[in-house]
Amino acid sequence: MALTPNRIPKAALALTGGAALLALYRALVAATGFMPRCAVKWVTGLSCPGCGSQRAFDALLHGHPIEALRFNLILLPALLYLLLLGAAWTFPASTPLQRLHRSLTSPRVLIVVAALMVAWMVVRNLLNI
Amino acid sequence: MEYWIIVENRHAGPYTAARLVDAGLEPDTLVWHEGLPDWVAASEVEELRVLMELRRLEAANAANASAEAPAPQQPQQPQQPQPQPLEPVVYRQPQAAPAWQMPMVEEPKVGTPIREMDEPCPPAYIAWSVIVTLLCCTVVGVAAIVFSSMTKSAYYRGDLAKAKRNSEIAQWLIIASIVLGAIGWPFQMAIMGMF
Repeated sequence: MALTPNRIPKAALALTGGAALLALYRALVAATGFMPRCAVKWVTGLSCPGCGSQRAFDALLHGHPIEALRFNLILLPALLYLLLLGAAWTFPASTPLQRLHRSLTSPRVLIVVAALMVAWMVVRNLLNI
Repeated sequence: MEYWIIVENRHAGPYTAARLVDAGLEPDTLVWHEGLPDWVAASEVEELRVLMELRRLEAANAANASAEAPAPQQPQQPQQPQPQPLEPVVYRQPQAAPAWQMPMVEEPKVGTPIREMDEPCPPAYIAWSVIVTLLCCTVVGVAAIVFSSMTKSAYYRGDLAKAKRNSEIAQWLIIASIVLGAIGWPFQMAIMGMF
């Protein structure tokens, strides 16, 4: 179908760019120990849903997914969600991917995502995770 | 009354009832006319049901007539109306619409099939809202996800103007998150650097 654009080159470019940024970031952290605290946490003392995601990401890069979940429970699922969105964007001709994309982006699912973020913030602050 | 139908996953119309029935409308084809909240099966629309029933009786009669009578003087063969195919869909193709928007065009059952559905859904910025939420701009990021969702639901309802407005709000919330985050970091690093 003429309506399905070929996004594979763009996706490849984005992946390469991402990998380059990642390498740069690794070098920066190694050189300076650059681990800024979250501004929300710093101002309010409360953990936001994203707090700990840098540590979690770091753990993930070192191949410790369990530790990543300990630092931030929601980062891993969120990354998976973004990955699926990206895959569906890259391969618009794939029917199963498009169906998955449609359910992932349905209004109801999005409200659930927002609710999960808020719930995660409440829980982590109550339990001090 | 003018009818719209869904053939091969696309809107087509408007057609008159007679035209549709002549073209071989099936009872379970989805149709819509002004004033209906959603698509319904053709058999649920009074006018179409009656016409389809008439057409069926006519066809049955014709079949009986030709079966019973190998008549000597060739009874005027009731012209079985050849179903003529509907002309190609009168339907604006969104030019080069991003692929994730295509399914919506192809699945018009969801919302009110106004002609506006021909337009693709305005961008909902879903990935962006999730990313900025994780990057520590909590409230604003969550609000962005909510507006992403409202963009979609407004579009499914057929309210394109609302969908566009929600899309814009989501976009601004994302920009605000990024700006807030960008202000926060250097400020904080400066303070931390002092101690």
